[in-house]
Amino acid sequence: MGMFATLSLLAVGGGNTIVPEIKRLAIDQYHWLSERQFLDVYSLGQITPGPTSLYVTLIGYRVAGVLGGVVAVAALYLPAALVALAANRLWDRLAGTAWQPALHDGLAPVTVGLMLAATYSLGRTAISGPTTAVVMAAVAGLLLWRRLNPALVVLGAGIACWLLGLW
Amino acid sequence: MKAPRVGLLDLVAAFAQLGAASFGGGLAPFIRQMVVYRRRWMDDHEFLRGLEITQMLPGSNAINLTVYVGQRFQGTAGGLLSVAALAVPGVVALLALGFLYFDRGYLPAARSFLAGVGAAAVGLALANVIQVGRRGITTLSGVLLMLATFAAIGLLRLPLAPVLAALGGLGVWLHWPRDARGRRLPAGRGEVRP
Repeated sequence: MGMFATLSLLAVGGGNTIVPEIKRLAIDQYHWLSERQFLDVYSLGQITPGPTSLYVTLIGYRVAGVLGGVVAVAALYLPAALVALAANRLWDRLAGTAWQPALHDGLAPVTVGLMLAATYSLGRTAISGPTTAVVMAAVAGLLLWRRLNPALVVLGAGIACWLLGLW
Repeated sequence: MKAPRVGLLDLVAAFAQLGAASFGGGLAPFIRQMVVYRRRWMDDHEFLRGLEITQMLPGSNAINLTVYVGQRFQGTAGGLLSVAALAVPGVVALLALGFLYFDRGYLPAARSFLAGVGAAAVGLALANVIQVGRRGITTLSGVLLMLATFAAIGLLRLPLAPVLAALGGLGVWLHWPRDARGRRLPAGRGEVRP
């Protein structure tokens, strides 16, 4: 569990950008979960309320029960919150300097690259054939086309696949 | 706008409610609804300033925005307690599901359901990448930087921290504002347009 805390110190913020890193540590390095279990756990985080990064609760739960779940969330969120506290203070100090636009424009592409890497990393497990590929494309298209509640769309896709699986 | 008095309990109640009622990630719109419209704690201008800071940091908008709002009214304690309140409902729900999944093996029975949810979650992540990318990447160097980050983390699986330091530093250097003659502006001056 201490390793989880170390990881979180490297990861500024939570969210999708650090999914590949968490995946690498939880599966390859510590063998806490199988690839399949990681995807299941991540998916459950998408359909439960609150920030989707809370799925780390389940990784902690797997390792050390309820306490492990709570510790995992704290280990991920506390450093992120402290960084945010510091960043808010720093940002006010940088008001009107060239640092503000440089940081703003310069870090955005890196953030998007991290998000893309996370999507790819999840997709390698989740997209196992034509059906899952169609579901992925349909959900992405639907969400880009209309402002829908993402959790309801994700949940609907699960129910649709479940119904199809019954036949 | 005169800053209203918002106590620690107000913050905890509001963010616990958000934590229970917001689904599917992308909490920023939910937070904005509550803070700007429903409770009128701050105006849109102040909220967007928080969002601007949030978008620079790689990672969760939800955590940083929550800290921003909590810190604004109750300092460090407000920021930390607000984040904790936001997380609690989801953690409880996930622990219950974790019991079913790991201890009872209940959910693997619904394999096709989880396969659908998993594929849809990737679709959601993809839609997010496209939406944020269209807003945040406006230059060719930005596109190249994005691709380099993707290749380093996604394909080569390099460790996060050094990649972030190297490419983030490069990004800031490349996007440093310049004056009309293309010279780099000094770091400390206050004459930069927003």
